[in-house]
Amino acid sequence: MGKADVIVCFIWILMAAFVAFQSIRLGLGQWVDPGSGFLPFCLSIVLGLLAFILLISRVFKRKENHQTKNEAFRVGPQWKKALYLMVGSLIYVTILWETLGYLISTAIFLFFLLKFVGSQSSVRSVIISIVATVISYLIFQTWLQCMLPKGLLKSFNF
Amino acid sequence: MGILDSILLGLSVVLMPINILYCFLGVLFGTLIGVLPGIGPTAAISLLLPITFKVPATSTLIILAGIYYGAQYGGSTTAILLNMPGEASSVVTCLDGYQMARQGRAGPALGIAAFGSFIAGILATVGLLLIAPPMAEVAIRFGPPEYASLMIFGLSMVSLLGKGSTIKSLIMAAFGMLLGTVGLDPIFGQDRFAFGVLALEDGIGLLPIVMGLFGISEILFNIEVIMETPTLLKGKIRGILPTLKDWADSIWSIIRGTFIGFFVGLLPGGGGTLASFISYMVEKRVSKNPEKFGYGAIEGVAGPEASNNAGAQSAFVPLLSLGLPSNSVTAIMLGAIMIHGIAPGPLLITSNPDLFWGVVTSMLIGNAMLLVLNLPLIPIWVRVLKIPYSYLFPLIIIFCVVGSYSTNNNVFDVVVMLIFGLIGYFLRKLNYELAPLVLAVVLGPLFERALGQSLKMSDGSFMIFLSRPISLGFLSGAALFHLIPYLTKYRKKVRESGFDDEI
Repeated sequence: MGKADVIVCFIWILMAAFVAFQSIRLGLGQWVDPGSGFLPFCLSIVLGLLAFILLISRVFKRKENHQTKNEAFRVGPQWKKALYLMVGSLIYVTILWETLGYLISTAIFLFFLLKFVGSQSSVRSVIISIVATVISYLIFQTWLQCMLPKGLLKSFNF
Repeated sequence: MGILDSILLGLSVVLMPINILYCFLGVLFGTLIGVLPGIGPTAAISLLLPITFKVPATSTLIILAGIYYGAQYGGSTTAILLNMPGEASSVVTCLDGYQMARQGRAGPALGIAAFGSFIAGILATVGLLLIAPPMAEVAIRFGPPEYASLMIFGLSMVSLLGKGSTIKSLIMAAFGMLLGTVGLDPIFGQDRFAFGVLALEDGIGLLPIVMGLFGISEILFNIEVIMETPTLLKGKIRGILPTLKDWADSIWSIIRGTFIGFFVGLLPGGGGTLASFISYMVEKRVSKNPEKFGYGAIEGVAGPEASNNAGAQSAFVPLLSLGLPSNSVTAIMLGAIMIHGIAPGPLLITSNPDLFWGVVTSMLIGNAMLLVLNLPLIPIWVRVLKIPYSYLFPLIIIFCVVGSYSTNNNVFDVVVMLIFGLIGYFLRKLNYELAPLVLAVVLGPLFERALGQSLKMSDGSFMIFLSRPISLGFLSGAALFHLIPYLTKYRKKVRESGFDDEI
């Protein structure tokens, strides 16, 4: 088992400890009348125990050197693209979405994805991003009547 | 109401023009998803969930079911023509399907896959019609303890039958249930793990979770590797209608595949993928020419394709009769009907007969539509294959963002969705299965209620789960199935040690 697997086991155990502590604060109640914290508490015990068993079983397995290579955490050759995508999506959602509004922010975001993550040509990226933005607007805003943010285009009534 | 009356009721629902349209859209979209590699039925169903909020519950389930079994048809096309399974359940179809295509028999391979799926789909739907109502009648007698145990049984079977480590899957189930406890407690109204965040008080929605786990994480997974453009086999696809000899070779494989698929699909954690693997192994074993397998045996296409479709239909039996999902797709469907305010469980058939019979009869019509869609339109699906992934993934992301935003008009949900995308990516990388997690998120709140009611009934004694025979049966079943791998391992070790004769 790779290092990442061990780290994740520790994350589970820490999470279980945190949930157990919070559940006790919420109140476990009585057997006959379980409180709000009862189920989370039981689940945290189960989670912690399972993570502990996993950790122990893998530490012993490591000595036998079984499958360690297969289970190691490996990223693909283009992992940076995945990173750009996540950072781009976060900026799009938290900053651009409400300030610029759906139409402008989505067109920019799609252009970014097509051009820099998908490695398409600039002209193609511009055309596809505009067409896709308009179609998605028609589907979600006009047909399904979602309340998409208007942002900069607030004063236009359409 | 007799079964014929019920079918007539179902037909009256499904033959409404709008429902025919929904059924058609479902199977069309399902085939498309099946053909496109890099997006599976779970992701597709997650993406379409926000749209289904706007249509009635019956239509919702008709669309989602259509996508699910439609994807089973579409998945075989890529497996046969490109040696690239469109879905996990078509992995074994590659083995002989692609070889047939290389020998110039792509037509019969595609044809028998579609006909096999059709026959299996119809037979399995009839099985569903016959089994689900009596099963629901038995389940009506279940009390909260039986339900709690049934959910434990379902979750542990899903963890056991998954391809990864069972402990990891159980961790996923516990984590999923914990996610289900976030928000206001259903009994006391106390806020749990919301930490003052208003948006968390309603709980973490199913939609952002599944869109992140299946939509976004799948994209992250795909774009970090260099996606190869598929190379199609040259030459025209001819003779899609299988010859009499093809039929003679494969009809029994189709029937065996249907039975295997139907029964595997009933199991929690079963479903199309496992069904197709078992069917392939069985076909190879019963065949008179097992050496032909892997070199273009038509039975190796017919059996697994029939069985994955039968499994996709029979997965609806526990969903509609017990309210127990058996895989991530049916878990999301359960979430979808609950959002429509319909209580899942054995009463569903009697309280919402139009939903049950409408959905089941829609499968008969949907399977017929799929046969028409898949055979003559193969050239179009082949063209769809050429759409590069770099055009597809931006659109999927926009769907996920708008979809998760639109339920509450809240950016917070979108951020949650992205976080779950990242969580899903890491979990997949470390070989954690996502199905038990989704199942547990959906079942968590139902389980908590059943557990609370059971403990009230028994004055706080856990013995109630062991003293009632059905509940005891579920729990001991769950325990027994977990022991089987250890027993077989032990037997193998004993055998290897050379003292097998003493046993």
